[in-house]
Amino acid sequence: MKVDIVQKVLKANDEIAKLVKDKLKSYKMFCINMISAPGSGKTTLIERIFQEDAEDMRIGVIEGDPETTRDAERISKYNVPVVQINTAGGCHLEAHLVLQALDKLPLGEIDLLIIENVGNLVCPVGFDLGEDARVAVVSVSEGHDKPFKYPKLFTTANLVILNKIDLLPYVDFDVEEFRKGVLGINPNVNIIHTSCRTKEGIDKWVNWLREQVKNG
Amino acid sequence: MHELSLVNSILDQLEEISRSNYDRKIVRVDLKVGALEHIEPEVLKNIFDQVKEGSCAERAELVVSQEMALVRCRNCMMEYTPEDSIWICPRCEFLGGEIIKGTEIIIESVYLE
Ligand SMILES: Nc1nc2c(ncn2[C@@H]2O[C@H](COP(=O)(O)OP(=O)(O)OP(=O)(O)O)[C@@H](O)[C@H]2O)c(=O)[nH]1
Ligand SMILES: [Mg+2]
Ligand SMILES: [Zn+2]
Repeated sequence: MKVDIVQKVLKANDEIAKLVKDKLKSYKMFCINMISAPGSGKTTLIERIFQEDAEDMRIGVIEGDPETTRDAERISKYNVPVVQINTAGGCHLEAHLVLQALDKLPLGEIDLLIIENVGNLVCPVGFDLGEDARVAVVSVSEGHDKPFKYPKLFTTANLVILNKIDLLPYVDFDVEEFRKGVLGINPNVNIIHTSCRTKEGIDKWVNWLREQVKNG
Repeated sequence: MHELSLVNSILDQLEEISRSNYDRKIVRVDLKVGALEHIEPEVLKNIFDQVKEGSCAERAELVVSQEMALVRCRNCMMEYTPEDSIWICPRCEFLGGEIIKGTEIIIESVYLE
């Protein structure tokens, strides 16, 4: 007997993501989900926020990694609430993991929740975590052809950070091609250029976050 | 490997469907996967065959069909299927476009014994 059902495979995750979203809303938290290839600079970009004047935002962090607590240890140096999720080799975070992690955070004392997803440009994209905004990070050593190779990430991103621009003189990365590609896929997305080394653009990154928190 | 998560989600849904059909076993599942999802049908089928053991879908075959990618040019509105990750409108050569199709992962139908 054939049953036509037409059901999204990730339906269950979407439903839990909605619970996360409702919970975040009830505590007036703004949440971002940072997605990039391994090593593009997600953790460093988060660290730089705490080195800027960002005390006006109360920030909490969820670190997703396949193994180890190294990224969470880097963040905890800044005396902010941080929860490490280990996915046991899994290549992405899922909403139920975030829902559990929320229980370990001082809800009500956080304005901005930053989720650092597992370093991977493909797998995290289909898993809604209940975030309000998605941040895609690309570093210049990865090549400017990324937008059309990973279109779904760039369609769903609210902010694209081009990181490690201090390395531009050493790599063949065409910034203009990259920009055209990103905007070709998502014409309204913000693009910020940063270097965590020279701190160029870090103020723009922090200001973007501040604006999101303010506008909810 | 997000294929494993997908297979686990599929099996969860199959259990639900089986339960609401007097625990009848599942013998076939038709899955549609968008071409922009970076999913290898063969990998998905292999994992499914490993994980299905002992479930209501133990004897089920996973049939995967690809949904072609379709994007709409933002300049002339032509809809086309990009090839080799190159999104250039074949009519007006405008770069990029809006995704119309190719990002779904959907269970279309299930066959019960
Ligand atoms: N030159 C340069 N190096 C950077 C920059 N940002 C980060 N790095 C370096 O890149 C490496 C990886 O940075 P991380 O912040 O750990 O990257 P990540 O995205 O968190 O990595 P995963 O969590 O493993 O996916 C580190 O050695 C950083 O110091 C930058 O703007 N310029
Ligand atoms: Mg990291
Ligand atoms: Zn066109």
